[in-house]
Amino acid sequence: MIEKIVFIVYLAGMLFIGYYFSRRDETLEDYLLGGRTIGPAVTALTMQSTSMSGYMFMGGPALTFKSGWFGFWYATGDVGGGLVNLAILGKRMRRLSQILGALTPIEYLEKRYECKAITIIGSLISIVFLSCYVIGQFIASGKTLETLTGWPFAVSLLIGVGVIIGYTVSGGYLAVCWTDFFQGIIMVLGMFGILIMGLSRVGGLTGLNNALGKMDPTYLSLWGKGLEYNNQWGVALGALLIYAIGYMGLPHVVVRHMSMKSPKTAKVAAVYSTIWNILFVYSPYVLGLIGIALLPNLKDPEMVVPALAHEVFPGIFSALLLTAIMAAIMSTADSLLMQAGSILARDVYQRFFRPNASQKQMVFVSRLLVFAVGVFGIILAVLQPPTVFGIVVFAFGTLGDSFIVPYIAAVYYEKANKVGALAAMISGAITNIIWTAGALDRTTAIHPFLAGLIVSAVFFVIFNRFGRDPSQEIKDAVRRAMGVRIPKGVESGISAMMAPEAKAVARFLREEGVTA
Amino acid sequence: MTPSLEVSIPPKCFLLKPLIREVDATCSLEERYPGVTQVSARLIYYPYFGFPVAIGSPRGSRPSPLSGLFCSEDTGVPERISIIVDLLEGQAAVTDITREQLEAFGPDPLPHLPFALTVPAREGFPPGKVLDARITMDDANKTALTFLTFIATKSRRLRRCASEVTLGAPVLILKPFWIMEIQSHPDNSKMLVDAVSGGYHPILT
Repeated sequence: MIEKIVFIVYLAGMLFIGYYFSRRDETLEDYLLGGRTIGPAVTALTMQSTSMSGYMFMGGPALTFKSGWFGFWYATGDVGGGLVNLAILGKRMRRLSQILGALTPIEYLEKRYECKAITIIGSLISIVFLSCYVIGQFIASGKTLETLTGWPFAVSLLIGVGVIIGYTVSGGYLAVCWTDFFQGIIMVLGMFGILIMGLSRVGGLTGLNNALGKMDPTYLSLWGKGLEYNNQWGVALGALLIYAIGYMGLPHVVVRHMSMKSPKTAKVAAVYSTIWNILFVYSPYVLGLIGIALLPNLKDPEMVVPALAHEVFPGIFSALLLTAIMAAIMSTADSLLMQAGSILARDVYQRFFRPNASQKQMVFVSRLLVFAVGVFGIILAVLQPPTVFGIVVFAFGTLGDSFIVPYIAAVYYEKANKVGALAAMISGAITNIIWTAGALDRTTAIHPFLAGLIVSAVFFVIFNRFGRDPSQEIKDAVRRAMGVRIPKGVESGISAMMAPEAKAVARFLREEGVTA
Repeated sequence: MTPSLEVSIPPKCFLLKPLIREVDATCSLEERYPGVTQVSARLIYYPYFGFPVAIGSPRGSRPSPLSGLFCSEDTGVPERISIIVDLLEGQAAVTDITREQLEAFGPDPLPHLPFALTVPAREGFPPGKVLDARITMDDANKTALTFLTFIATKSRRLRRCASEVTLGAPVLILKPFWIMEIQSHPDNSKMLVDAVSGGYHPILT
């Protein structure tokens, strides 16, 4: 009963926050990017809570439950993911997106590479795989509610999907960011609380390792149970990289760079993200290991965390965990749906079908997509539910392989052109799909994500030579986005006291450039 | 001790003479910057309000010795300092340039100079645009008074030794800066050089 009360209070709170911030959306930029006013704390937590989906409570713990310490390749990469993402793309993408006047990550690529085809292919890849990703979240919500409330899976799924969709359509980007911020706090508190309880049950990390060692010593190996991946460095590197650099290719995550208050926001946000990650990311993987010791006969490994909460720590901890899991699912699902809807409305509907579409019409198109994904997700999940781990890693990997190279090249290489970017996008996506469908990681010992990334980068280098250089205007914009690099010898003599004058003169020169 | 303010409108104007010539600034940057191919310079005048500050000693008591900005080194007697307010960014700072020292530059060379004007060339003063002020005189007055209240409250020495702190009528100070455009490999950049002190800072456009 307490689970249901806490859950309802939590939902009411999130709906209120969503409603409160949705009233501030006045322009299209407000609706899609929160008016580019998001500060460092909210940027960090919305980015991290969006990045950490229901996967962290289902797929991650299931991985360590099945493979032991092997799962920590994924966890270690994930801890650094936020920092890498903000440090490499943050400032530059914020600057360039504003210079180009882009409101969605796909529009940004189109304007940067001066190519309509990028919009068509990028939108297609984004909408399909963001939808796959969100279906993983639907399944996770159904499974969680089923375990913690005892309702049948179909009923739990309907309630879970209904809540996510109802809550997502209630507000725009600003509402999503602020609800994510509070959900990020709930996630870290819930997960860390359960971790402490779990570790105290098994005698800390030492007691846990002793127990695992007695059951099967290979649980303690970094190469998987039964040394399944023994010395397969291609798999290990792929597992490490997928979450360390993969976030740079996710449209619903990189849009956070575009909505920051200023390029400087990235630096402080990176610090907050890293602190949050250190507290949060390892916890579910350790809980998976605790599950091996406390629930060795569990049938569905993805249920290890809810089962631990329900059976081992009933009552308030179970309720806390339910809200934390739903927070993770909802904070990711709302961003995925928001992004997929924005891309459909702005980059497809407005760009190709109705250039003069009003904001109301675009919001309607966006909501149609949310509804369609919901219906399709329910049908798929009821008929043949895939594993959360499988669908999330597949969708994540394909999005990452499609967009990482074009996003990085966009701000680091002014001569990056449309031919190179298109080749990188298409080859990366196709390689990941083929590798996953054919289970080629088994025969090649190379993770699908790593394979896609390598092919994408190689295709970019080769095909970029065949394309024409971008226009001078774009080259200048990229150079401006890179910022001024001051040589070391000059940097040491800079007079810090002149910073206000330098800022004012920079503004004067910009204004002079506009009026000239 | 509550600082008070005298206001007189319109303020007198003082144009500071560029002590760093274009050729000096150019040579200096060419020496420092690796890979530089060309440097071009342009002069601007940056507007500030300078508010002289009078610090009074406690009446009927011997003034305690002060040090640093707040006194003359020889006598330890409180003397005048100034607060300057940047008319573009609205930031305030304390400086030891007093009105008397400003007068030494040549009193009132351009009386009641309006903004958005180019200072014409004449001996010792190259021509240069005066940047438009972005804050009003009222706002500058408030900023100076707030800043003075802050330093008067924070400085234990000033609190102990001064009975009265008065903000005088502002004067307009136009300070010259060189905007240097540096063409170099692999990046071009801009640098702001203080034409009075020679300090520099990158301009991040």
